[in-house]
Amino acid sequence: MPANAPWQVVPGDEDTTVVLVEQVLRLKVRRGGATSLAAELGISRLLTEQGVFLHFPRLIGALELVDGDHRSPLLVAEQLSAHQGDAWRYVTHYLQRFLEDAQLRPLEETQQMLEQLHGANEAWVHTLGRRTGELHLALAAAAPWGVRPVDAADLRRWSAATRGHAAAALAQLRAAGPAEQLDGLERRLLQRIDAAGNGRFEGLIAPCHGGYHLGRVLVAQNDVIITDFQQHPAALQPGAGDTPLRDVAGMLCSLERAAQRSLQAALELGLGQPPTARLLALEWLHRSRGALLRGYVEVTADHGLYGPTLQQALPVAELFVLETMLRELRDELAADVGQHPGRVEQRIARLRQQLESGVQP
Amino acid sequence: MDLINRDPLWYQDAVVYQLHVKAFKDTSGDGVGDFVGLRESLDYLADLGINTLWLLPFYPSPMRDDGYDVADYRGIHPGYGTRSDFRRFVRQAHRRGIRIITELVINHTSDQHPWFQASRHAPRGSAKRNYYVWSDSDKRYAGTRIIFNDTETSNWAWDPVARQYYWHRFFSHQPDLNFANPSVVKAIIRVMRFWLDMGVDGLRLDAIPYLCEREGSSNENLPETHAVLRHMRAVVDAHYEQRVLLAEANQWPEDVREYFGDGDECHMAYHFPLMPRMYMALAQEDRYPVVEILEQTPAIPDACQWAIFLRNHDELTLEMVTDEERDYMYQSYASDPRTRINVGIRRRLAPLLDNDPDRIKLLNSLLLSMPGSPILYYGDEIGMGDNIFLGDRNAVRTPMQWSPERNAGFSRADPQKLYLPPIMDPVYGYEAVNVEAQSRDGYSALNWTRRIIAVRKTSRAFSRGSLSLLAPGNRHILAYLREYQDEVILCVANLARTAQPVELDLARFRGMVPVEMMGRSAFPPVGDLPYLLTLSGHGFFWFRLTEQVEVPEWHVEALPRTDLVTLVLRDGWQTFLPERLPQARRATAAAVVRTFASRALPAFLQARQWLTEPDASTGRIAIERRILWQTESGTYLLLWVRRLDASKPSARCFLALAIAWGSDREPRVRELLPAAVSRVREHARVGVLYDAFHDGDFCLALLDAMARGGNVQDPGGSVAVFQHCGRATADRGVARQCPLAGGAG
Repeated sequence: MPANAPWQVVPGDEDTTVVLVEQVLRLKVRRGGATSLAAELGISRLLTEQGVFLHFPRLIGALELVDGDHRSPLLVAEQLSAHQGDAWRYVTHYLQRFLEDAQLRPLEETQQMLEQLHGANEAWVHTLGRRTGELHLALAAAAPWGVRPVDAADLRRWSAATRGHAAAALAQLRAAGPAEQLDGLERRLLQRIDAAGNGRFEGLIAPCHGGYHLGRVLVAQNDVIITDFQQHPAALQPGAGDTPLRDVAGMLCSLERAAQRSLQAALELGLGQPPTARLLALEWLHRSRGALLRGYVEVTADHGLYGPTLQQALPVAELFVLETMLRELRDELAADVGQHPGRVEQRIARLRQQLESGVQP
Repeated sequence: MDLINRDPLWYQDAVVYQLHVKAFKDTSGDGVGDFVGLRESLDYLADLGINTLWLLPFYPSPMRDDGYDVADYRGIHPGYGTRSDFRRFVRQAHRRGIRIITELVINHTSDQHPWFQASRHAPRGSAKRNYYVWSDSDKRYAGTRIIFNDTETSNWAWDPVARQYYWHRFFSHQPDLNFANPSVVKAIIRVMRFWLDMGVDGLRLDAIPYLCEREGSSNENLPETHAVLRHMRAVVDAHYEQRVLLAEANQWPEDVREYFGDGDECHMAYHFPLMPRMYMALAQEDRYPVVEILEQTPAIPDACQWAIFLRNHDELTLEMVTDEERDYMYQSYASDPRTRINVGIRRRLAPLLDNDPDRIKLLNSLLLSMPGSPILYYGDEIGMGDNIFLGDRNAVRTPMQWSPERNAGFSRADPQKLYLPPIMDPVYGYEAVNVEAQSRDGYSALNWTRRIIAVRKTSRAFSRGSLSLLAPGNRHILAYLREYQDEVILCVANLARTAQPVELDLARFRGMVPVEMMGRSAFPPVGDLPYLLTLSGHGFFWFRLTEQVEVPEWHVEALPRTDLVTLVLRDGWQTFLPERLPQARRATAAAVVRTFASRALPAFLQARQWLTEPDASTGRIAIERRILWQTESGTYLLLWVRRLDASKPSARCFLALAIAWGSDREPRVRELLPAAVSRVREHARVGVLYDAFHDGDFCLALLDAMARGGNVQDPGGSVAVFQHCGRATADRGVARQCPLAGGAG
């Protein structure tokens, strides 16, 4: 393609090709399968036809292969607004810069200025929370078969899934080495899981993003564009779906990963004292998670997505956070730990930190 | 508990900070810095990132040569504190992981030293008289150069008490010890052990080439001198661990090499000629002066290390350059004659470089990436200035500038009592340049220095790695590799004041990703072509070359494939649908399709890894669906292909192909080669078959079809359906709003 052409082929996720047309149109071609495009096509079509929620790439058209009753989306065309890249890069670069600069300043001075220093970033995360809430309300309203209340079986299923990951991860850890320090961790994990599984949760099952994290959000004019919907088309069938809290938990986890990644990058440079950088990274995470949840609640309060108050639903959100962290721990255990010594220990430390701090609005 | 690095080769990883106790911090209020002040400043030094301190002489002295005229080898100058203060300082430094190197000034003493006083009064020929080099004539050792030629006219001075001449290579108040006398060697070794027992980690052997004398020689670098050094080293090795001898030999590299011996003399030695050549290269905007001296630098034993520097407490010495080069240096860096002294320039780093932050950073980047342990001179980390009106080399020995308070925060004494006045001019004065202000500025010279030291310490390739010089065509660029074990660092410096491009031959590192170390940004991977970089004026890059980092997400590999198979399309696009051709042509067309599926497609897909994990083979490909899609703008082949050895749905891939007719000489065809699946020929016409998503017209045709709806069918009965979705008004019209330049195809 000529260098001055307004068409630009850019590498997409994994096996996706993306053609950008002057930042106005996006053609997304699935090269290695159709599942993800089907998810994107389903949710995008729902939102586009409804026309209420605007912070996503609106669907223009699609190309599908039809074999008898089977339809496989091959390509989707979407309308994009100008943006400045994905939020993972935006957030981690911001935090890395902050941590690097902070390590060169006296800690007290930085702490006194946290409000001002993080102000713009927190305002953006707050907007992200609001847009997430708006997305969930729009999807709940547009769900072709309506929504349904969460029932006890849902809670049991979610709780069992997290318990399963916990049991498997702990068994792997015990098999790998000394286990005395794991008893306390297991006790606290099971307490949290049971608190969510046995508690009351009056939320709704509705369509949602299905794979929500900072990498699937674009930053645009201090606002957001939510992209790459992952919820399987089957979730749009009657009675199927998930609680939107799954998305909220996904974003809480993503913020935690961003804090860890940025902290690691700052520590690699060897400037300043590691405890100081850790303290500041945790402080940022606490503030960012708070901003996200505040924004979310401002939009969704009294709509019944998660029962009377988000506060009461937070144990369920934390259940999903723990499930994600345990799954990542298992992935780490399955990987060649010899290549990256210390990573399992880091995952355990982050799990303990999560149990310590919980999910606070 | 301390943070000391116990590695026996710790000095190879040293980042050294050189200071004078009297100049750093005064706590007693007498206007002179002291060991208590230095101890209280250790946190500042640890935060800076240095791990070794080199202290200038702190012994009792008449101070006629800034302490290099020692009057008592075992004492502490009363103005600086006591031995207890010194011991406490060493302990506290070690707790912070900072090693201490002190001075062993053994070539000469002060004329006030008890040894000299005893010698001049002792009878001729006695053991005491022979502690120094005496002569009845001042003509002995003729031909020996005079080092301080601004102040001395002879290396001999008359002593009316001894009624003989005594030998001195430096000032006349600094008589040389006589190392031909075994008693002197023994006495010096006792002094050395005294300080090593006190806990110091290393000893800088001052003026070491001049220890011994022999008639008819230049009296420099004599074998007798090396014998003394081997003796001293043997004592160190026999009685101590992790201690270092650092040779100060202002000589050419091949002569300095001798001071390492076979690893049995000094552990470290200064690389004097490299320093002026870094300035020379900057002034000439050409890498030659640095490359030349590095290429002349001999290899040294594995356990040894060079010590390199930009500035120190003396003048910027120009002894190790030619006369022409010296003139050039004077013109470039010392146009004011008052800045010249002896054979050098008495200026600090920042004034030498006109306080230009880019040049200061560039020279520091060279200092911290060249082979050797770098030495930073106190105050240069904040860009301190000098005062050429202070006489001798005191211009660069003024008090450390801690804050904008009185006396630069160095001392609470009355200003008149200070050993030297602080710098007070409007550019470099302590009100403008001080630690306190720069600590609070994330982008100050101080914090930049902290960052670059921290970056250097992330890789041992800087401290222990081999050096390979690259030879890019642009001579303004100095580029070199530092390699240690599996670490590779690429350093690139632009010596010119203007932005410069450079093409680097990195073929050895093909596929590796350069990660810029200051910002940790990944650059595009090294490919087959020379690696192109653009540097701002006086800019520099340090890259870690690694396979452990992913290429930047925005990077598109645009290298044309050279192994493209040629498909002969006798029937044009219809060749891909043999069943539609007359019977006689089907077999030929089917053979072309087989070649397409078995050779062209696997190679194309393998390069993109759409159907495979990285490093896995794509294997054989089956074409499941083919649709020839004819539009107003052209014909395209839509394909659904599957990897034959996999049953998962994810092993299927959608492709759209277009043809661009023309030879490689056509710019449009050349630009499409990176997206090509194969070459094609139809009779005399040649072209390339390529991924149609690189074709603007194809993308427009897709949008058109979606806007209109409809479908196309493949021979097997499958249908491709174009859908226009939702209420969005964006159809082809949206794309038409863009200033389309049109595509190929």
